[in-house]
Amino acid sequence: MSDHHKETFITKYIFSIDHKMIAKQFLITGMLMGIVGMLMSILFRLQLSSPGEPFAILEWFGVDWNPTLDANGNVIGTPIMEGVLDPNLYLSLVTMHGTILVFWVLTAGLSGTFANFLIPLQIGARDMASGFINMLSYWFFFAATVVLLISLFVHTGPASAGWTIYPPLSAIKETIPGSGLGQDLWLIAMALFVVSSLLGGLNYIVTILNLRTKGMSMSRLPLTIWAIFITAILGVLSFPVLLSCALLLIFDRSFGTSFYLSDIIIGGEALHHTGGSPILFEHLFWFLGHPEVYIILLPALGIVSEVMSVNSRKPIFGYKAMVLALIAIAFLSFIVWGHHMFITGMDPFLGSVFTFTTLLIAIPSAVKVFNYLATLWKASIRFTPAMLFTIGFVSTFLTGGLTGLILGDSALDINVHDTYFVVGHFHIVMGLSAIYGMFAGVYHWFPKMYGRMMNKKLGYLHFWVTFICAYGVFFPMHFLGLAGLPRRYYTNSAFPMFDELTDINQLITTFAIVGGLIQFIFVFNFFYSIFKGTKATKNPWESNTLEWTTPIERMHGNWPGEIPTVYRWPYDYSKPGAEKDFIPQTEPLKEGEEEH
Amino acid sequence: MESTLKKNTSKQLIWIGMGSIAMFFAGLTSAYIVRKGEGNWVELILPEWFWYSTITIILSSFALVVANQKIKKGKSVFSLVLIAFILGLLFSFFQLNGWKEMINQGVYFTGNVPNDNTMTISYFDDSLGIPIHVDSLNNNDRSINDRSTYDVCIIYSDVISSGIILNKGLLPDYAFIPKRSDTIYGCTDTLALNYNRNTTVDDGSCYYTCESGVTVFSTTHPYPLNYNLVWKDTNGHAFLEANTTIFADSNFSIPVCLPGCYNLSVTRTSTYNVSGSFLYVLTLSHFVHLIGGLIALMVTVINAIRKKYSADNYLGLEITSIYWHFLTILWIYLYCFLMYL
Repeated sequence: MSDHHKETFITKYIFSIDHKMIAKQFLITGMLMGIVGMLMSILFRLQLSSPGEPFAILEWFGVDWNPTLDANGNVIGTPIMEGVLDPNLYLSLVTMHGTILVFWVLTAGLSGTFANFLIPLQIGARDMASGFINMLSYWFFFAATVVLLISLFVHTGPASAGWTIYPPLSAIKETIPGSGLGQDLWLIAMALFVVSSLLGGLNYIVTILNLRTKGMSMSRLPLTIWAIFITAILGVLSFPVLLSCALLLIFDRSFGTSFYLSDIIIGGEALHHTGGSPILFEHLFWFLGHPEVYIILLPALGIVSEVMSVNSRKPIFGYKAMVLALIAIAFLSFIVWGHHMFITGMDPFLGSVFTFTTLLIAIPSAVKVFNYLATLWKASIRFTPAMLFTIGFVSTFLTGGLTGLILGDSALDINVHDTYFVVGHFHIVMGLSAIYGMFAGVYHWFPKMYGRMMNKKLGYLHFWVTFICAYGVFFPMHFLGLAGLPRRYYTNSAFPMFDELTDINQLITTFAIVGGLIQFIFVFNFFYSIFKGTKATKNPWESNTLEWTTPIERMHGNWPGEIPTVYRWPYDYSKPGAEKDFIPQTEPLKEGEEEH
Repeated sequence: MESTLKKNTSKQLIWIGMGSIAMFFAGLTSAYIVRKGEGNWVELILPEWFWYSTITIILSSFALVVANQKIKKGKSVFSLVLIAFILGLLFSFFQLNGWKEMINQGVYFTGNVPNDNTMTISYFDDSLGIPIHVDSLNNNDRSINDRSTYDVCIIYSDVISSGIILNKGLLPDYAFIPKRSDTIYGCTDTLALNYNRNTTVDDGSCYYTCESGVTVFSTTHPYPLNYNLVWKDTNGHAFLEANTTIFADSNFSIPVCLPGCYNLSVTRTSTYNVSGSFLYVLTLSHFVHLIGGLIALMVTVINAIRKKYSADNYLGLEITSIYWHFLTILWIYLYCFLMYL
């Protein structure tokens, strides 16, 4: 391979085709977007804990954001009246928070980082199948990021129809200021994002299929790679459906068609749309939307499997079951979208079918949790920060999964649909789990990325405060939901029955602020350690996988000489009869040694 | 080794990409099925051009199959690839003609229809079972465009045999409803709608609800049209309003209280025609993907001129062919889908 060309600053750090650099680009962009999304959530949490009360921080943040407009497009009043959040701005913040976290942080930030970083290193390849497509994938993502951030600063404010952009709210410009230019920019950003995601996914799949080193059969792949492989397949099959869904929405918004719109009267004026169906949008959207949940979760499951095995000094329990569970979850994710739509007037029989398929997902999920617990059982655990986040993942995956049983059942779901119960559920099972997986991955592979170690003490502090605050935020939401508090409302002060929930809301906001601030410790730790962290050894975690056989200094092409050959699976930890408690994949089998 | 790897990688890329595109169309066609299942759907008449284009693209795919067989034996494929490319262009031409014909039929992307359609309004007395226009079939028929208004007076006549007296050329049109009996029998209740002061004996025929009707026919347009109909009394007060979709060869009738003078205004509201929008989205999306195929074919033609392909090295031709066959199958699927579903 003739990849050892001379790198200039631009080809090394900006238009790099080296997968490791692209992974870092994804990671840092994802982290920055994560901070933006998190700060937004704190802003609207302030409103929810003290509705209508002024906050100095809002006064500073909200200048000229998302003003209320009259018919001629002129600004009415000031958008943030002496520090009180404007309802339109509230909706924009909720929308952008969801969009950024779901797509920018947990899809691109998580998959983009670890797929790019780990695939070539763990399968033994010099780089991705196409470094150029990989670079394009990042730059499409970057363009999407820029467009999305620009939409924060347009006159009428960013998109406000929720991250699920249900029409007619998202389709008709007159409904809400954010449905104007902000929504257009949202759609453009999302189109760029889908292109980026498809390019990335194509690359991941062909790389894993073709560029594995000698001896690296599919059954010897680390579970991270399996998870990323299946995630990529999910992505290339489900994102095109989002594209078709958004295409029809764009036609409705800008070309006057009536795919999703029907018989709408705004301000006494009937619009010309007839015969459309907004439910159609929901079907198309959730056909992507549900697999998207697993696009977020599966890489985290893979990372957790790997990190857990390394730090438990035990082989992962049930390797084949883990792979089969991943495949089963991926398959089932395509046939459960209806559980987002139980209250759309769906035929109860159809509802029961979706209930059945949804509850089936509990089986592979339970297999995974069981295997995690069995891996931890009687292990000599090394409590590194990465391992703590891994254990935190098992906790949130379990607690969040259990409320999934309630929401997956159509009869029960109807009672708590669109309440904070749902918010609590998906933040724990999808949001927290995936972000814990991401943190675990960053703490674990940081030495490989930057050749230095992250500070352990700050890592512990980060984990414990995050873990407690996250549960403090999302656990009480289940009670709010059971009390009937609807999600997405700007304020609930008009309903006396919710008055007694104010205390809980204040508690949640307090936890959110503390939990949010502690993330800056992580950011500090991350950037400080890049330059000043203690130097890492070649294999600091005593891990088996191939990435730890590469030199500490980053180089294009990964291995200076030949790519190592693989002789065994990646989970030979504490193998009876072995000298050390780990045997790298490159170690040939001894005479008479069974593979595993 | 390196070239086998490149071959495998490129082939997998095109297959996964095609899987992705297939999902895009699966999304659109499922939306089509779901939307169609909700009713209120127009069956479109597909232009014959789409049939010609189907044959054309199958032929071009066939040319590429032959080209692939020939290159394996090391023969020149230039003419075959060129034929495939020209047939591809011909396909595009037929598609353009097909869309043109759809527009001529009045099927637009947004679902609106043009103004040049005519429809007929007739008056019909349901309670008596007598069409009011028996004597002069055409005089009450009006062609209307987007917006038309009529003044209509419906009064009772003492003369049965003459039926209708028409005031040609002048507004309002007078339509006379024949009275039931010569002089004596009828309705004597002043509260009834058919009260007539000349009636001397009540025969129990009084009715109190509006039973007479105005029937509206659509005549020239093949697709349903939506109309808003408003009846106003002589004071300009709108007392009856109706929205209706009028299909070809069907009618719509709405009761109007008799007797009296009215102003009827007919306004064409939008034509729901989302099936037309679906047709354009499906065929245009296919066309967008076909443009990619045409560019690939063009590159293949240029490479064939330069004699870049040989029996050992024809990866470009092979991949272009795979993609082109995919476009052919996709089109056949869409054509059958639009034609028979």
